[in-house]
Amino acid sequence: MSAGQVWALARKDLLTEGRSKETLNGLLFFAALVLLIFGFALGPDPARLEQAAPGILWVGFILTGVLGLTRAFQVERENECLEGLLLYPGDRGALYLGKLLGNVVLMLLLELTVFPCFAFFYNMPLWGALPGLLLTALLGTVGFAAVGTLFAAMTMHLRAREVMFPLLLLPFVVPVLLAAVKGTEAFLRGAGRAEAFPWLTLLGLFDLVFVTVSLFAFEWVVEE
Amino acid sequence: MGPWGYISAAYLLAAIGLLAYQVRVRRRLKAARRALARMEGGGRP
Amino acid sequence: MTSGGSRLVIPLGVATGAALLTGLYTGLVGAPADAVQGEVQRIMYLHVPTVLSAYLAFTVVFVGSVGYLLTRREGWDILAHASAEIGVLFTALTIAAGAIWGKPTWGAWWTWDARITTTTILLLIYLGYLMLRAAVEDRARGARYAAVVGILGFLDIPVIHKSVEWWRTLHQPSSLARGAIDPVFQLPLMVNLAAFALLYAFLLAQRVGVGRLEAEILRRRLEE
Repeated sequence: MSAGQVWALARKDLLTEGRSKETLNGLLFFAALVLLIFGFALGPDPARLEQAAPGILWVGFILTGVLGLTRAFQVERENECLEGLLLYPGDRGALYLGKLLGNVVLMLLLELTVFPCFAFFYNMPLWGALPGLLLTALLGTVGFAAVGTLFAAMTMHLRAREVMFPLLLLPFVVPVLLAAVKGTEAFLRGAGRAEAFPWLTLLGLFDLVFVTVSLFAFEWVVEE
Repeated sequence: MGPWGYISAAYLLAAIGLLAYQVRVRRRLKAARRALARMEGGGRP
Repeated sequence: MTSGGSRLVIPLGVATGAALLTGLYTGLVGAPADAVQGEVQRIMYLHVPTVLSAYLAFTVVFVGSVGYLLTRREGWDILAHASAEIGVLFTALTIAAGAIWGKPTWGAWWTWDARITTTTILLLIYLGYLMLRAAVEDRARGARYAAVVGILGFLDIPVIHKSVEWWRTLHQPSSLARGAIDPVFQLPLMVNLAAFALLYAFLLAQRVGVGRLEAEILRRRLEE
């Protein structure tokens, strides 16, 4: 396995996505919609919304992420890319990491575009908190995508994949959700690095553990 | 409801759940045995 | 060929019955009422054994899953599947008993206590395990996928527990003091623990028997 292989795979996915902007636009629209819907469900009291905002943001990311990952693997399935790639005597690990990288980059692009909507709808003062928020978003996204890529590959052939994928994934990403929300909350409140640090550490550990474990597990999922 | 109401509720619920599962396993066992017997009886000599 | 019965089943059944009756007596009659909680504390003689048996069951699922992935022998898979079913049952009973205990004790059915929350997430993970098995048509593939989930789920337990614990304690310190259990309560607890462990083994032996028969039936059908 080489970094070159991993990058080549990720690049292929990103280029495919880039050419058909429809998916990215659709996911963006969906994310904004989720933010809006929560606003309707929990509003209009701005105080309550402000309290709930970090949670709403991450639920939005997760729901959009589930859609995005399902979609990503559906494209694979339709074009039978995965089968083709598996024919090569390459390292399965590189395949996993390549997919993971591609998924993380896509999700991050999405999140970057969602942040302004978030600041807009929920009157969140983003500027000062931005570096912290981005770091939290990165760590959380990696954790989510690590398990998500594995389970998406697992469920892609099932008829019930739209149900089975989130069903399997969501209980596993609860720790990511908890830590990401708390970290985001700390940064938004201006509480600074000291308070957010334990959550970021938890996210980092989670990422490390689950990328490693999923890397090995991927082998067993895609073998034929 | 006094404490014994809660205690009975908990234990009864557990008993029902466990019994239901036991019955289910028993039924599946019998069904499997029947199916296997049919295969052996009606099939090859 | 096989009758699906193991010679262990009947002696296990007898032992289980005797142990459960003894446990019921010592827990409900023999043991004194708790000084603080009163009689309701007796539910613990049900709640604690079921949760520990559930964790035992999921450990067996882990072992079976690893065994299957390494050897590809069906027996391991049958063991894992059977144990997962029983584990899910015991977990559901744990949560129910815990809620019934919680209502008179804390005034609420549900609290976001770290242990109960972790146990609930576990229930969701292994329910997903069972649903995944039902959703995959090819037997070998289903076994492989389930094994991955069985392993990941088990490894996730400490992660979930730690993160929920931090999430909770930063919000509100745990009100349950973790003191040593008074010796007078230890005996009934031990008896019930043993009884439920035996019950688990009894159910497992039967369920594995069923699994073996059904696997045999499938094998013969495929041969025709």
